[in-house]
Amino acid sequence: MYPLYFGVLPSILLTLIFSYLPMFTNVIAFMDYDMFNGWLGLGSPFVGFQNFSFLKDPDFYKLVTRTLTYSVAGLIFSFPASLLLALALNELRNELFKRTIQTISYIPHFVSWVTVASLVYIFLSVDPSGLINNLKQAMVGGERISFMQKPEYFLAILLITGVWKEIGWGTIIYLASITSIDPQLYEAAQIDGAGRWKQMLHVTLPGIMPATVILLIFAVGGLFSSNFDQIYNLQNDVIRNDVSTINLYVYYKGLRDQQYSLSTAIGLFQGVISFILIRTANFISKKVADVGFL
Amino acid sequence: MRSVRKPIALLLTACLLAGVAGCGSGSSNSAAPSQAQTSEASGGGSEGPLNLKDMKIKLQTTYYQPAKPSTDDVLTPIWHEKTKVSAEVVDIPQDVSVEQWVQMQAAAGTLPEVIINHAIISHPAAMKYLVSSGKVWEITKDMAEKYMPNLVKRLSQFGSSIDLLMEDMKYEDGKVYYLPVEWDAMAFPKLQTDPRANEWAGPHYYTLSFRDDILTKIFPDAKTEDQLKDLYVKNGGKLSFEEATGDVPIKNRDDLYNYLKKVKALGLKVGEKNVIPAQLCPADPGSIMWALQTAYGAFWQQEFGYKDDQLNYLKSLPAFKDYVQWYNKLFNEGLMDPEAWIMKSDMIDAKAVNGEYAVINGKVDDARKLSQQENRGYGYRTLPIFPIELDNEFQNLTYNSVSLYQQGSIIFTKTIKEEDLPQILNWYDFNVSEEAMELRAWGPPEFYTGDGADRRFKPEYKDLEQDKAFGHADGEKNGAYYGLFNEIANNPEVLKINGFGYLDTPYNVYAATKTPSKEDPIDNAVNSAIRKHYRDQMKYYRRVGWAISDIEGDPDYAKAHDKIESKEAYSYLVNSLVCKPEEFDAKFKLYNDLCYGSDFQATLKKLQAKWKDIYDQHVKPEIDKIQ
Amino acid sequence: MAAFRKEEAYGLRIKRSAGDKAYDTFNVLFMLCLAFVTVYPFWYILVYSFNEGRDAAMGGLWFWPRKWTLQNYKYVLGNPYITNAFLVTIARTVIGSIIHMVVTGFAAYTLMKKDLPGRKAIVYFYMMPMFIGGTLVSSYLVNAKLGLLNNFFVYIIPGAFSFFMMLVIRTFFEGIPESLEESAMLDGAGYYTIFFRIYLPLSGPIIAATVFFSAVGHWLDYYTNLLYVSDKHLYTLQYVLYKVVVASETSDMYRELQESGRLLTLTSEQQVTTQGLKMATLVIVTFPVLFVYPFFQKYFTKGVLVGAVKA
Repeated sequence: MYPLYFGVLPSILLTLIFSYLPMFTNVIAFMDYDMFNGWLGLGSPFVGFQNFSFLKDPDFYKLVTRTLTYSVAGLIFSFPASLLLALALNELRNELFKRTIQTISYIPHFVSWVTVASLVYIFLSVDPSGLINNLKQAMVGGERISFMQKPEYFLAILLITGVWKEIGWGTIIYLASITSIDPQLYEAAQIDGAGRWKQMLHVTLPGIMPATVILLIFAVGGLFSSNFDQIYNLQNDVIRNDVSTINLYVYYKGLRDQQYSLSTAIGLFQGVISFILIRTANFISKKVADVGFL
Repeated sequence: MRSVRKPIALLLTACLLAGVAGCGSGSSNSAAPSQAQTSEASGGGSEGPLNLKDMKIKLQTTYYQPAKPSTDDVLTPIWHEKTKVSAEVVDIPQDVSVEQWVQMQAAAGTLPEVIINHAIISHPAAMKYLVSSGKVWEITKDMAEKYMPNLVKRLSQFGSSIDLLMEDMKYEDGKVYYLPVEWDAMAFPKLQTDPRANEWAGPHYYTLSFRDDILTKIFPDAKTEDQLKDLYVKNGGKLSFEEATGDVPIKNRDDLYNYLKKVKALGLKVGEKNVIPAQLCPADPGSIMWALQTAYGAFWQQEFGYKDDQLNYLKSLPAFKDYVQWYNKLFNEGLMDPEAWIMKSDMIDAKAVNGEYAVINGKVDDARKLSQQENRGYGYRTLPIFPIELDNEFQNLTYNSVSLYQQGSIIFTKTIKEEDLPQILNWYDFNVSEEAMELRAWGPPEFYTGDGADRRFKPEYKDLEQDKAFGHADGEKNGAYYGLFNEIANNPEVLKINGFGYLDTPYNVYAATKTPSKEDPIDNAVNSAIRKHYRDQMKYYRRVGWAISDIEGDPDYAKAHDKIESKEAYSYLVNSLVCKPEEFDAKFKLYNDLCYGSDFQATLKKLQAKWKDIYDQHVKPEIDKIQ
Repeated sequence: MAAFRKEEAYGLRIKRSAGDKAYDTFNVLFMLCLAFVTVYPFWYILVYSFNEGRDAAMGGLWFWPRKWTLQNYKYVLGNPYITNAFLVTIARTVIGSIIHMVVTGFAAYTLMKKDLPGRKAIVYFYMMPMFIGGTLVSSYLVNAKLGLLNNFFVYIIPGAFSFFMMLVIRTFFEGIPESLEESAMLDGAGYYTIFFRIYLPLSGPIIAATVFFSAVGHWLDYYTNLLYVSDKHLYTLQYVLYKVVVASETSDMYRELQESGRLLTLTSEQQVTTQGLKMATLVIVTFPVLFVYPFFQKYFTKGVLVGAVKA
């Protein structure tokens, strides 16, 4: 058995040095941080859980609700989207067509959110050159809407752009999984008289279940955070206060307002919640599907 | 798979490791970035001529860098030869705050040798951190006299002195750590009256540009840009304040509002699109603070208004609320772009260039050009945004304090070893010298002939002449080509030291003999007229015994200021700018309560008391002297 | 797709019912729509990048450049550091992906064994950093003390292990029948022999996916450079491009201040706008990846498990 441990040695060392070592700064969550107190400000006085008083602030829970809304909505729309697309791609008969579509579908992954946001603003503009408004006028009529100035449209914009950007990229793991399913299983199903739909249901889906479950568990773990890049770039001054999430709040407090203790404390809080979520998801999936990674 | 990739991978790896190892070894030893490759033994040599050795330093600065390097850089080789110092810029990563960065660099031992960054040097916490952890070299008068003779010379040349500099640049512990890279011409007695220093002096007046066809439709007596240019040529190349601004009766917010309403009523179009009456400031709400700079009778680019012995915080006054409400009115009545506050800047540019705005703040040269090319039939008139009285309700700008301390400064960190410091100071000194200024303005001696007012570029440098003397940088071999940038960009190797320096710039020399033509940018003449109009009314006195940071660097104020500048506050402000008129009071109240609540008022009272003391003790006597 | 091809190979005929045909048609149409929606914004970016900046900013540029120009590309590629940055990026992509695969792959193989003592503990050990992070300051310090600043290996070492990919690979390995391993062990093979001879060859798809992800990650990363590298000859491609765009933005910004009343100077670079540069940059970064992917994609079409058990 012992030679086997050499396999994990490099990764354990790397994790220890590059992930665990830098963790020491998290103590400032429990301090009244002042950069002049000792080395890197780590000599600051301990104040226990004082920095966690945000948990009593009702405004914080507004942020939590909003973050959860965005994440859960994203989970409901984005997560199945990649899976379904992978399955649909799998059904394509023409190999070349399939490859082309697949390659095209993940192009948006490479476009940074900065550029995507510019494009979104151009397309959604209320200006006569705004494409979406023009389409709307042609089809439904009515007034032109300045979408990006109205917080009520933001969730829809988040979901649509989110799916658009990642749907293709997300299929890669599924496709890799699908191709490793033993073809003999398909043969057997066919011989039993199963059509394409049944084959998908009884062969393909179970075959990719393990990978799917892992992705799902990780997604659940991320419910308490949000896609910072996406929201940071899509927001603007008019709607900012109405669309902010925990991550953005931490960013602004930490970077702009220099409240390092507070932002670290919130970060720790998020970490704890994530951990609980992942444990729970893993537990449930083990009970239900006998798949889990812990 | 592996059998295919292996050979390719190995080949690439071999080549690249070889190349990379070559690079890596140069900097592998320590994390400290300074590489002093000694080409000769460094003797003690602090007396007598300096032993210069090749030195590379890291420079942290936010002075702008050209994206495109110059094709035939003439200055950098000269600089290298004279100073043997070559500088590379280090950036502060985007999401790192200034004090975090300073902490990080200090702890890891990777502080760049030289820092020219106002954000760091004037940041109370960051600077204090550097000083208290002993990471900054102190500059003494002794050092200045030994290693920076040019600096000493030029200070006294313009009527100041190294002693005065040392006094003005004192840090809170009484020592001097930073030296200037920017200068206020008015701080030098001999420059205050020198006409060649004209361009630097006077308040920074902002202007609005008006499409002149619309302007003349509404005010038939107003001149078009073309007509104004005729007048300019007739006058021999200048305009008076009255000529430049007197013909357009837009002198305050109400006038502007009425004008915009009339514009809207005209219902003009550009192609399919409606002409939007106004784009008054960039899409950032913070810009309403400074874009319409004198929109309610105060010069309030500054946060504080100093009215004799009274201190006002301009944005917390009721007048500010009226101002914001005025904006709200404009927005709701369709006099502004409906997406004015969220548009990305390139869309604003595009619309401006297209002529879709009747009144714009900034960026009209491209529009003018295109208008000419496409024969649209209009130009733009540039007008000051409301002429004001210098001594008004909120401030008294007749008397202005000057100091050799400016926002731009340079510090030398202890990453520089003691024996290397003289050479670095010598590098700074060369950059401040008259020789360096002359090189920046005119290039090396082979580019020109003659001296003083007779100096002219040689014929083969026509493009350069057009650029430097007349402001037409369209030729291929312009300033950027030779690395002789104008104000726009900077070469870290050829450190940009602003402002006072070379008085016989091409612009000044040629101006004396230049024939005015309608090709000249008219805005220069207009802006000069405006600046002169106010400059003539202003008086200057030296700041002695107090500093601006006494008021504006106060820690409590810093906290309040952070709140005022926070994204949250700006969001509230923007919401009050775009909401319906009936919701305005409620929305503005959110902004007001966040920023100017009781904490703020207490801090303000404290500062007001402080200012009164300073005024009585230090300022009034100086003012009395120059009455 | 493996299943159908194999069937043809086995000589089985598949009858396509009417329902099947309808589904196929619908599928193809759907894919075309998807392709259009995904590709159109990129097409817009492509068109924009080949159009004069000022003109493009006026809008209305939907399908074809109005004022064709190569200016944006000249400007971006004219930077003297581009070639070197390109080489550095290729180096890190290749070396980094290989090392990542090795480190992560070994870990996955080791943790696959259900009876390994401490297995759960190790997994937890890897997982915890997901919840507690370090800050920029602490990470910088660690890298500095290790001598990784301005060192090529800062691109390779810190990112050499990925917990998530390890799990995915492990899941894959767990799907390979144990009987293969048992029979190999009976033949006297050691742990690592089995790894190289059995598991790796059978994991073509997942390895291809892992290497691809890792390679793309390296290719797109500019943040490491931004934080830890200031030596020009170690700049990566993305970083150089990022700087070009940022510099252009700052000089745009400066031009605005210019027009507020100081000496007006007009540069001949006027037609090049920041947006145009951003678009050209994006195209330059994305294109190589599009060409490389099909090379990986062929690993997604092999039915690698066929007959493996039988053999």
